[in-house]
Amino acid sequence: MKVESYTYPDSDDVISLPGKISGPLRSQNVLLVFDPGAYRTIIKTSLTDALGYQAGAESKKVATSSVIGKEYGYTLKLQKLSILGFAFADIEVASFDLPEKYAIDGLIGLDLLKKFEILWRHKDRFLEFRLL
Amino acid sequence: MEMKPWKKIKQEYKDQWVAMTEWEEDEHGDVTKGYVAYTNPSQNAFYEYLKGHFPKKDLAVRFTGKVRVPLLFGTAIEEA
Repeated sequence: MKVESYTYPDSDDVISLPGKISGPLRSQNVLLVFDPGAYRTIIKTSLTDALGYQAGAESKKVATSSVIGKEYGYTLKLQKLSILGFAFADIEVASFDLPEKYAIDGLIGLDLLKKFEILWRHKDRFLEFRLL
Repeated sequence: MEMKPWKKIKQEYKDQWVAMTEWEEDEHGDVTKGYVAYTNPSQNAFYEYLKGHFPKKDLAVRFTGKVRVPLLFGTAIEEA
């Protein structure tokens, strides 16, 4: 069983994990927010566009309600999404035009996080991911 | 051009989206140093620029400022 530990920076920023997204045009090393409160992994539309993705016949329209109102987006199947040392091929994510002021490329939600047993020790800024 | 340490890039390009065309990363994928090819404080303008440049070139992208996400994404997503 593959295990990887990660010590995140000592700051009051949200917790982000390094990863990589591969698209038709290029691959990009990114930071994605660790968000167990999100039902689904979300990647910002401007990033998926820049990687060469477009909504296709397989895409579904999706919406999320939040304190900022209702947001609309669509699903995309990514060629590959890697988080830390774990790579997932042909993985479906939601693409939303997230507000620019939050300064994030996307977030890792429960659909991906549930694939792991996760040990989180915040006082040490320590996360350990064990792939189930 | 020489690659700069990530700490120096953060200081030099405050509150900017930074694209690096060459970079070194640690075992987790965190960027440790890189060659800065493009920066922009606006994320949307930044990605709009990347669409027309660096064709088929892998990139590392980071924001050098504070990342603040309010509690708004802790929601289910339904089909619209």
